[in-house]
Amino acid sequence: MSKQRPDPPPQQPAGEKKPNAPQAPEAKPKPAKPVKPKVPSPWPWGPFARVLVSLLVAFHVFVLFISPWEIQLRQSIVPMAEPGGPPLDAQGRPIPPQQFDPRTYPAQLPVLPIALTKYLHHYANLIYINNGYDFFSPDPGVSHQIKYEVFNNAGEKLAEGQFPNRREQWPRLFYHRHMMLVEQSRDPMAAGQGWETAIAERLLEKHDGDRVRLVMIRHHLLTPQQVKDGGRIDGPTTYEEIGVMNHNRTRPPATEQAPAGGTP
Amino acid sequence: MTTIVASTRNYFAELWRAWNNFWFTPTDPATLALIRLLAGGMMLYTHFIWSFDLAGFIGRDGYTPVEFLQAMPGREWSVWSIFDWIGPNWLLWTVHILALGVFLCLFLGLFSRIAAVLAYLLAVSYVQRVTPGAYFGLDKTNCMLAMYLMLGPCGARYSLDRLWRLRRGDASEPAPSTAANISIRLMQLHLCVVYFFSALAKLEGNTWRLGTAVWWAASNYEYQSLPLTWLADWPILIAMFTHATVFWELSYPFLVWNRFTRPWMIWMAVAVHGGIALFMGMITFGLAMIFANLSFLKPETVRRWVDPVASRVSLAIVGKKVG
Repeated sequence: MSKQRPDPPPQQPAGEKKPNAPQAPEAKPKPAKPVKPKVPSPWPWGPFARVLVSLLVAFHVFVLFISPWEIQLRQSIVPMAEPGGPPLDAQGRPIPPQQFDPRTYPAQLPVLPIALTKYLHHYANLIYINNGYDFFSPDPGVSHQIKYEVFNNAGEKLAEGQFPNRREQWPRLFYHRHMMLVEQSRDPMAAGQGWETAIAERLLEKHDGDRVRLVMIRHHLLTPQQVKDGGRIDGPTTYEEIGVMNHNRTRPPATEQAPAGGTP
Repeated sequence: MTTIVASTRNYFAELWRAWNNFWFTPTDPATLALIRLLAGGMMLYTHFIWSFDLAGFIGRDGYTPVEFLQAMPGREWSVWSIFDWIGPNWLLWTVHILALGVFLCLFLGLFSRIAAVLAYLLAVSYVQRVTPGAYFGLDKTNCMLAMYLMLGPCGARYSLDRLWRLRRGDASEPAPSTAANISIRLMQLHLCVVYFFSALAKLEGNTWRLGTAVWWAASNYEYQSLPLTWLADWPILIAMFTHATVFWELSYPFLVWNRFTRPWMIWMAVAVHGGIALFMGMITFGLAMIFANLSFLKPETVRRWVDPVASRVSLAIVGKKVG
């Protein structure tokens, strides 16, 4: 496509008469127009290639734009109620958003982004431009940790550790992957999906254990004033235990699994 | 009436010419080649790190089992990964080692175009395997750069491919390329979309609008790599950094195209992403975003900086100087 194409033949100038048009006898012959020197096209690709590629890039950039637009608005959907304050119940009290009756207050949907991405999102998925680009948004939040202890059937501790932990996970990117693992497992979208069970099963498999105990921890942030008052951002009071899970192995150890067909 | 028609026709003719100039003017592939070198190195490192717990993160029964991800609401057929079909550990490691070889080829510029296509497909496979799971902005940037690298002659300079041609006696300069220009333009536009929507998302947050968000990000112990709690004594600095980040991201897609404001936008990008790299432990992400911003560098600027180094490498390897 990058090969130089021959220049297109010069077009007939607008207004020039056709050669076979009948000439009026009294008409004076027009002076011949000076022939313009050929100017090479600054674009090596021919018009057809340029139009085709233009359509493709326009489509691509369009999807590039609508994907984060739709993804960011997914979490901004609010009930169809008068702006400016929550609707009131029969007693005049504000109705909390979670108690809105969807028949009375259906969701206000971002109609346009939804319509645009209805089919185009498959293109975005396929080439991985299905991103929201919402870094540290809408607000930077607290961090979470998972502490684990793995035991065998006799109750002996086989392993213990923490995700994330700078001493256990190095280099920094490896630490960051563990941090993301914990944060994304705490995402409200993942709630109730049994993610902790999946993490527990993996830890049992890794350490060849029979039981695992997971402790979920929230690491709170301090205000500037709390830090000025001597608080440490890694002080013990900043950690809050938010859940404990004991899990027994459900998956058979890898050594006991039947070999998959076609594999040695 | 004729004037209106003529003016309209002229407008669209000018628009078409400007569009063609923007997309189809051939450019020296130096900028694209530099981004290939840097992004290839970053992708090699990024994916090498999975080796520390490959089965845990990428394996079929890892922390996010394939069945678990496929059962998640909203997961569709178009979200794909080759790792969805890879079961046995030996096969996983084989594919992983081959993938590292591909990323190495991209970094060195060996079979560059093929390596770029494979690197893109592999990078998407890795990130879709850990989405959700352990992905973050680094993976998005890696995939973005790989996607556009494969569209242009990314190995035309600063590559083993170039040295190989030189060794065979082909000392000609790489020709200006339309495909290189399209690749760079797409990178630039993609970057504008990233910053624009990043700013819009921040505007939904009270802390970003009030000017305190940088504190909450910087005082997060899990992120912090260098002490930043001294900022507690400097609320004015916190507010300045926060507001500057939002206004910079919001204005980037508009001001980066103007030659007078472009240096401000790019240096601000270096400052913001450099700060994230140094203080918040995300060295890889910070660098990858700086690499993406290099797409706004003119090829002449890239050559002025990189050619002297490339010439020395070339002299050492094939005994001839080349860019």
